[in-house]
Amino acid sequence: MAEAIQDRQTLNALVARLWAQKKDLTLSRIAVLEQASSALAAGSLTRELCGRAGGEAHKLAGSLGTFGFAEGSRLARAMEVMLTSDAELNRDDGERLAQLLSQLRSELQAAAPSLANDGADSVQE
Amino acid sequence: MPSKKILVVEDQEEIREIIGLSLEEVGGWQVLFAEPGPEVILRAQAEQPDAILLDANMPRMDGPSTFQALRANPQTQQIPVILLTASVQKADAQRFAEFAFAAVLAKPFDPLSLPAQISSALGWESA
Repeated sequence: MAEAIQDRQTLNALVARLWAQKKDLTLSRIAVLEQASSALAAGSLTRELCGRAGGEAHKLAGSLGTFGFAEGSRLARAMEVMLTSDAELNRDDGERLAQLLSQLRSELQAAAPSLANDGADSVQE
Repeated sequence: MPSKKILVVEDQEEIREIIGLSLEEVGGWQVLFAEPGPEVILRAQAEQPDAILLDANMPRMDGPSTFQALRANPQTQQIPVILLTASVQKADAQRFAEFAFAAVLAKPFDPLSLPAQISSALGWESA
């Protein structure tokens, strides 16, 4: 058996490679959130799409932080809370959702995974 | 860290792969995967892993339901189960506390420290 990795730098390189391979999955999850955001702005968000988008936000909140995008995870969590709340969503929520999505896109474009794991550590139990 | 065999049940592809990376490359452990649902019980029965890492939120059979099925089977009931969850609301924590999971770990997690967290939860550090 190969020697186990003990240093963050080596692991980060492997995680970054995995991120490059799996990035399209993340983008497809974001696309569902964008659909929901557009529908909300147009006043036509269905319960089904809202539920699906909430589920994708939940998945992003878990995965982005693990890949080192702590801020991306926080933004996804904020979207999850909005989309899974019992309250009726309105157009102001649509604007807020669009803002969060824009921030998330910028975050993912700007940052290579730092894997500092400050975000991950903050939610460990 | 002593060599272990871990069965991972996670429906989210990118998380599944990063768990595999972490447990194999950092932990040096053997990692097996099972699709959510009845396959988990069959795989656990056949492989007798040292532990099962189980996602909480999955289609068909979620983490708690899978856990109950594992506990109901005499051939899998003794295998420690760790729940991995991105559900961080207080109500979720209360719901998970009703089950005898060996540990509940949060997503996001740090892939460098996940094996140590599992070892610590299961008392493997001194093994």
